[in-house]
Amino acid sequence: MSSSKRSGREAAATAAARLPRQDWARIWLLVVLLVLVIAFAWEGFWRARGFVPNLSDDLGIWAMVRRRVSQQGDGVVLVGASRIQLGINPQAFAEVSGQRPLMLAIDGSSPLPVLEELAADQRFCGLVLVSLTPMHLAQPLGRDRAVKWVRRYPRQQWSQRLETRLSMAVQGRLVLRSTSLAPEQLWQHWREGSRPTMFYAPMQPDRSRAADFSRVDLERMRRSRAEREAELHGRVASLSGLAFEERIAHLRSLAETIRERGGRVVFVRFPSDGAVLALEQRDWPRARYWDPFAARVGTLAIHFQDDPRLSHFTTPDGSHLRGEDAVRFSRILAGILEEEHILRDRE
Amino acid sequence: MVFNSLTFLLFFALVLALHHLPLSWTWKKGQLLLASYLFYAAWNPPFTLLLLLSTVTDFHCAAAIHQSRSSTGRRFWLLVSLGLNLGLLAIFKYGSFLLENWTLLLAQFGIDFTPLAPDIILPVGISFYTFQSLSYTLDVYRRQLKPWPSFLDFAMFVSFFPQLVAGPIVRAAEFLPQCVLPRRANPCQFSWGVTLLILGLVQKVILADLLLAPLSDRVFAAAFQAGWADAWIGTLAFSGQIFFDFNGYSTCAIGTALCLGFVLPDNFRAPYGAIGFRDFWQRWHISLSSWLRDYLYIPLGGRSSRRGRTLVNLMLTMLIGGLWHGAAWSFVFWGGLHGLYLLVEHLLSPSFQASALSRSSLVRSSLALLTYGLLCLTWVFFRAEGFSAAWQLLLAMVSFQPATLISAGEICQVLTLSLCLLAFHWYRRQRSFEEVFASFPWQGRALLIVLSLLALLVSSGDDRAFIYFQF
Repeated sequence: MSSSKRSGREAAATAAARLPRQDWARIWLLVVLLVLVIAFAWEGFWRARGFVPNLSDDLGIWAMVRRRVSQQGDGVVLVGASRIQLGINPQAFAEVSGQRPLMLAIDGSSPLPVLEELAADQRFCGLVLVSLTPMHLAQPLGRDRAVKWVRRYPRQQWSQRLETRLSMAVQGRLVLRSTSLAPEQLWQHWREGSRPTMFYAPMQPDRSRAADFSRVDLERMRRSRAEREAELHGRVASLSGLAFEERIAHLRSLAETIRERGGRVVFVRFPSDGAVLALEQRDWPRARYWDPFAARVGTLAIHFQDDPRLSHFTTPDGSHLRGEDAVRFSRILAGILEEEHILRDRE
Repeated sequence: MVFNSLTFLLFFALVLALHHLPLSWTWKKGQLLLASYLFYAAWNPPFTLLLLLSTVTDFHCAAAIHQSRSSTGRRFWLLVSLGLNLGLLAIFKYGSFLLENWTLLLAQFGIDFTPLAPDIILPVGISFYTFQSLSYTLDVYRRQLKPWPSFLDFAMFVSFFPQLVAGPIVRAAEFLPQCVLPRRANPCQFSWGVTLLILGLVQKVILADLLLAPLSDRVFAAAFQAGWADAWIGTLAFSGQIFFDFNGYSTCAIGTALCLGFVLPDNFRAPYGAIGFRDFWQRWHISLSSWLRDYLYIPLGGRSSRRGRTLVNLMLTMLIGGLWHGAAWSFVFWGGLHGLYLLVEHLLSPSFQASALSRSSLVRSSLALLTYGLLCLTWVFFRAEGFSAAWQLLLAMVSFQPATLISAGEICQVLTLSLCLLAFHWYRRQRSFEEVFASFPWQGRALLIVLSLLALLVSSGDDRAFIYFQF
């Protein structure tokens, strides 16, 4: 038997003749009915417990904002990790500065890859606010999520852009698409005997987050944050003296590159307190890292402890501002930038 | 564009709507062709040119082969087709691998050759559509098929979006006749097509990506720290993951095509219920194994009267089959292991078949378990990041070091899923999935679809690519 005939016979044995033929009308009727009823009940159940739709942060949404940065060219851009993502309220910042900043912060990542990429983008001539933690200053760059996103975003195809928009549209409307209610999360809660709670810092479409610490067990969170920081500090080897000098020189050259195109870079040390601040002070003392950096980086570097308007802010988990404080902090920071002629200079 | 995306949902809804417009069949085929190219362009638009090049070349080569009066002419046009298709595959898929090995070879002779690092992106699905398109020219060359007169039909055969990037690898004789008369799914076909699409997505999104992939990823990423339970559970998790991932894709492809009225061949038939490796390869990635059988194993001589020759043919076919999966020696080794198992089976099976033992259900089920166990060992080489990691995991399997990477709950999760999968495949050995589905009461069928839809609706949608896209 020829191969084509043989494979033809195999195909015939797999095809339409085997179709389950009966009962489709009532099957689909029951399916549609049950899916609608259960989905609505599930949605209503969690909404009644305070859940609201929540976007999940990913490369697609970040890339969307990044493209907007290039289109605007001279806008205000926020770079860093979770401290700036929770610490700046774009609306409040815009009320004072007249410019709504674009959020390019990536949770848990170093700001360096994004800053390097902005410096390399000839179309960009705006203001970059970079949130630096002591660890960002002292750690070597590793396999950071920011490195991956910066490398991947220019390769995004139209279908991925469309997927991001569709996902945002669905996630922004349905609680049942929240990651905190995903089956694996519910399974985890069930095993631990705990109840799912609304994520304390849901992401907005502009990628900013407003933290509501009343949703969490603060004592537990504070403890786990300090433990995580301690573990992170243990894992990250500090840069040697020479490497640290090179880091400062590198940041200075990036700031200069952007300034040559008419832009500015401002480094900001966001508030931390309690055990987290103590750990930061122990492992990367300000006098040894921040102060030399601020003196030699060649652009404005704002430390929250240096300005009485910023130093009184507290962070419930030791590391992040609460939503309402982020509003005040953003206004104050925008005011400081005005005073320093950073915003006006660029105009 | 992947099946488990909202973009595909939108795209497919539009394709279906256009397919049901009162237009001529030629227009509808044109729409499907355009949709297929759009589907492929979603990954990397310039690569649609490769697809087009392969299509145009094979269409004309097949016609030229048919028209050539001399065997030299026929051979020439076949070589053009083979050269172009395999050449593209060699450049895009095996370019870096060949260069790397060439450099190593030269180094053996003391020649220091440092080539520029080629920055080649693998066009998604190139191995699938190349084999599919090649089968057409090979069939025409072997006079088993006449060249198809319509370029539109042929272009649709090569690029038909449901199976374009990860199979099943369809033969021209199966697909092209379906292009002659208008295809439109009847309600029964449409319902079963949608059901297959939903069940395929559940296999991919829930079973493969949610329940198994995180565990296998964790173990294979830390192979050097794995204890014996980690190594076994990680390997079992990957065995399940790769089946659900690939079978999920094939099921979606078959379902999607059926919604449009097209019938694609099965690609899997309960492979983990196989008794022996010959049986396994008649159940796993059937469209590839039958391709390799028809266009490689049989032309090499197939089951020759000389036993040695048969064994060489078998091993060569499996080695090339391994290489088809990826440009790395670990895939070749994986193919070689399968070849070795097949050789042993080839040598032992005549005496076993003749004995009464072959009819004992206890022996048969034990052999199925043995087959599964040996298969799992081959998956270690398929999945591990290189040979040393693979050896490390195999050593860990017999080390009796305590588990450090996986919790007791996760062990239970993987064991339960693996046992259910094995039991289902054993039950399905002689039954089609359609038979099993039809044997449920209608409420049971509805409930299965409802649960699947709800699971898909609430899953967070981790965007892992289908494993076979990289091949």
